[in-house]
Amino acid sequence: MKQLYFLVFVLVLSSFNVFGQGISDQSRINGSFQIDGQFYRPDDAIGITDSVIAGRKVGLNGFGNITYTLGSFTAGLRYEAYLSPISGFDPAQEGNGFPFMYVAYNSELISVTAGNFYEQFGNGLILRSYEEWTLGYDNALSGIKVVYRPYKGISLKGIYGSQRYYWEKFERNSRGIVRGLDAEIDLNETVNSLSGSNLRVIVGASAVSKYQRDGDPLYHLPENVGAFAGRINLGAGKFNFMTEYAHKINDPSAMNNFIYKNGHAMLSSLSYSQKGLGVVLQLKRVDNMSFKSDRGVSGNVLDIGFVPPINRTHSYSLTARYPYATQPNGEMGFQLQVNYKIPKGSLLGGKYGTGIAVNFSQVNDIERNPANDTTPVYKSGTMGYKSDFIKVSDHVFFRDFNIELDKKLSNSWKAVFQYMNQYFDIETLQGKTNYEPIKAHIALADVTWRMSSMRSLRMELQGMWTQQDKGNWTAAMVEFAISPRWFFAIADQYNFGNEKISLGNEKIIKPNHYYTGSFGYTREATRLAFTFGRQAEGVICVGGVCRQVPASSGLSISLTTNF
Amino acid sequence: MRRFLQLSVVLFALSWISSCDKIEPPYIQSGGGTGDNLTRKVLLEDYTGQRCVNCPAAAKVAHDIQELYGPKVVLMGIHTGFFALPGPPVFMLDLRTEAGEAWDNHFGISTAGHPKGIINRTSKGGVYFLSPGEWSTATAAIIDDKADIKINLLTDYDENSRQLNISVSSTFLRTLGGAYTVQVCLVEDSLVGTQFNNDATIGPAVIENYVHRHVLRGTVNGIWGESLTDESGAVVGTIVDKTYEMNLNADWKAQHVSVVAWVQRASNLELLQVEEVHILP
Repeated sequence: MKQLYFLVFVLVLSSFNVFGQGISDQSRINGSFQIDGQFYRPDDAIGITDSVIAGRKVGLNGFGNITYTLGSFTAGLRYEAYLSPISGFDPAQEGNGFPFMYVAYNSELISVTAGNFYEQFGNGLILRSYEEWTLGYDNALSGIKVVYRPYKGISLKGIYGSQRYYWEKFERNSRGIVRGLDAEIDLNETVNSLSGSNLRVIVGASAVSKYQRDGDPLYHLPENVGAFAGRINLGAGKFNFMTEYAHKINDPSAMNNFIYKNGHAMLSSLSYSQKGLGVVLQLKRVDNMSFKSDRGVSGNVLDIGFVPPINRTHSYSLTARYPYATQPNGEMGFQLQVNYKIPKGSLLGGKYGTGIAVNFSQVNDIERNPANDTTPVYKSGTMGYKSDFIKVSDHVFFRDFNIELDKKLSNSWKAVFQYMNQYFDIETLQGKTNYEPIKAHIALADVTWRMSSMRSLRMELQGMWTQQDKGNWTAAMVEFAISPRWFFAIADQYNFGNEKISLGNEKIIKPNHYYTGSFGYTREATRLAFTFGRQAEGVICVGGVCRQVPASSGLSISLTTNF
Repeated sequence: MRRFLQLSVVLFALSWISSCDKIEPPYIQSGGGTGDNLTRKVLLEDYTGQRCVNCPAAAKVAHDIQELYGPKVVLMGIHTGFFALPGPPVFMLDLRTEAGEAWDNHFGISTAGHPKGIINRTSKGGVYFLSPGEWSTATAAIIDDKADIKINLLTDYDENSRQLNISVSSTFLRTLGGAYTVQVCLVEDSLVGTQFNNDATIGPAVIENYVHRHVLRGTVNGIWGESLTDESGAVVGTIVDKTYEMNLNADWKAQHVSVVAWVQRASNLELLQVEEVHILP
């Protein structure tokens, strides 16, 4: 059936080109393609045996996006193929087809989308549908979306649909149906007398409800679960303040062990910004806020709501080795980020100035107390627990202090230095029972030598020192780039100092090198890259949502293009 | 403009008041099936492991379902993959079986991650396994189905010689096309060992004396069973008898051992009927 839709889509586009020169002039097609392939090989030293590969010597993830625009009309589709999925992606993704197709009409007054779409209300606490290719995550809605703008500064949104669940077609009672409304008013636009005000005010409110039939013989389950949120954004001069509060009624599910407590979440942010200085303070409290369109599933699927992370997203391999995964069942945290540029010409700033970024974040569990004298905390089929809104548990999930210096040394040299001190509760965040929390020091230097206007050499050296999990790591990388087309890189991660570390009941892992060699070629909007070598086991997180990456060895190829 | 806003607010409120179900206690239902012989029983295969932190909670879900439906639900704990690896001195038990590993590989359990369950080997879009939160609903969806096959399962166990005789008699209650197989397994209950856990209502993070329930110990007639009919199927009233003789493993406690037998469709492995009998009364 989908192939038929696609055929109709192509024919419609073709007909515009054949019969309507005028239409053709006004129309536009955009698109992007990506193919990621991996060829696996046995590598006994890092535990990759023939039985691990299990005959699947090649993995391939690929997609193609096409968007057609004609005036107010837009249509688009995405083809995806996971044949078979690259190692670390969910095997349920195996398959290919067109999971995303839509048609939309957009005017100043109204936008209507029929088919598949993404949407977010506020910060996403009660609704965020999005796609993240690197995680293999996609909770796109399939249904109808309407955005109505009746007056300047006022936006009303309504959505109605079901969510994508890998390749499983939505059928009656197969999973929930999601309905939502959102209203946002930019008072400075709506109220004429405020248009010139220094105080900028945006307020919003949203409500989302899911319907899923109660076919469970064990519990009396709510078939309609509602969630509500209100938000305000205030801006005054160099200050900005944002807060959002969300409430969800009883939503017993596999994620919360089928307890009937209401859920709450609050996210606040205060920021100050001026030339050379930026300060951001963020606070968050989440309590029983997993919100999925199928109460029976767990894992990263069918999420209606989204809990944003308030931790720095690290980009270097060792600082990103233990990334924080948000805990929708409960967490309480804060982050403070200060960016300061020491002016050029000063003693510390030197000729070009020096950038300093200091970041601290910590996330704890929330405190939970028994709902009554006879019921243990989290007992299924009960209220679960009571939690005081302002009380923090002593249980620390995650702490990250990092400081970064960004220094241009001369016209041809620049460097980034970073130190990070991390605490990571691997038992909670990665489910590794009986593992001690990781306490790690990480330091790195990233130096770039611009040899000419076309050629540059970038060198990274990183070290991680820890007594826990797999012990110490060091990483080095040299990358030579001939802009704008070529790059060549060699890198190695070396896991050492772990001979004396007992990993519970695991075998002791021996020091290992995880070396890679890569090169890439870019021409216009097309990029082709090859990497050969080993991939260390780890975790990738984007926006607090994480995917386990198993160790692998072999050749990977990536081809991307946009038009 | 004002009228529009007022209307919007009213519509907004009405739609949400009508779409929230606040549930009042008691939250837990009671009463299960009738135990009627002529309805289809349900086999819940719980793929588990002693190193799997989420598995005790899953085992509790399976237990709750069996509590609700009684003997209409047959449980089998199948220890497989990385999470079932033994590791002295803590993990002394090796509860893996050749059949369990083969089924795990066939159904993609370890690739998807434990715990996972399979209900009567029914599949959706080629995927057999379900997360524990889906087990009860999936069980309820089929437990009142009419049975197409009746199994008469008898055992005769000699405590002195430890010889076990098993008789499986399968009666077709209606005419069925296609090939069918019969699978016979041995299950041992209440094995005590260490178990990782993350459900505080069940116990600490490391439970030293965890009781593993309904553990698959092996199959009697091969990993995928043996043929009951060929592709032509069987007409209503057809009875196919199978008998087996074996000696019970000396390490197994006979008072905890039961025989589980089922008939499945050869083409898609879906179970049509399952029975369990303890070898000692």
